[in-house]
Amino acid sequence: MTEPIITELRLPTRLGFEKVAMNTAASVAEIMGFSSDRVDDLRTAVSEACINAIEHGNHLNEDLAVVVTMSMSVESLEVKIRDEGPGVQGEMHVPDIDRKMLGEEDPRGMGMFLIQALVDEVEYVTNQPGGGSYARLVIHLHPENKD
Amino acid sequence: MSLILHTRTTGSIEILTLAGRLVLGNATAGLREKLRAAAIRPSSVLVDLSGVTYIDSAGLGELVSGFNAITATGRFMKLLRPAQRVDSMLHMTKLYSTFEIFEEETAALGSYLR
Repeated sequence: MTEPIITELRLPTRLGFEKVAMNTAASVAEIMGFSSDRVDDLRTAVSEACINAIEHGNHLNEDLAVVVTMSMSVESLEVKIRDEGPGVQGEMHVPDIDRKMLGEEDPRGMGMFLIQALVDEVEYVTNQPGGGSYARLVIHLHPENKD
Repeated sequence: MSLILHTRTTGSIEILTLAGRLVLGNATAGLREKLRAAAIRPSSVLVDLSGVTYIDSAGLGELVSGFNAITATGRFMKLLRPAQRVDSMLHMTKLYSTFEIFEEETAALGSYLR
């Protein structure tokens, strides 16, 4: 297998549809032979990224879509979550847990932090031609062999 | 499976038992409602997470939000027996060292008396 095998989903901008993406990504990862823990990690990361795209990228505008592209290669699975909206998915914010516990910071806002912890690579690309931005998540079958 | 919430009271402690997936949507809304209601009662809260099979950042956020509401009134909210996946997410976000977490209900209930 030299060319990646692509699976693509076009999701409506509606909370709940992230489940379709997370379950599809999990199925692809299972086919590739990832362990159940890694599949669960990917499931969570894809769900969080899709929720970001729906809420922060597309601002819940149901006229827009979220496109999830899964590229399966020999050694890795890349999941790209692309929105069409004016918002930015990738404003990285490291949560301050102490401030959250004191009520001084929004108790939510841990999604991107979780994504980073759960996958091997994360990239956020904004200002795409035609608008929108995307998050690119990668997990490797053998991360220890990665350069 | 969506989230099932069950409440019982032991002395001045409300034990809130959750089972299922604690994720953004009806599950987090249901938990928010329970914790907000608990925050206006004179009891402290113990949240039993042993039946929670999956949690996302919104679920974690709801626990933090409930903690804030309850501790703001001078009472306590502690966690009981987080299942493996939840335990791992609490560690990942460093919430594990911030919440008081117990493996045994008896020990958890005893801690409110200290």
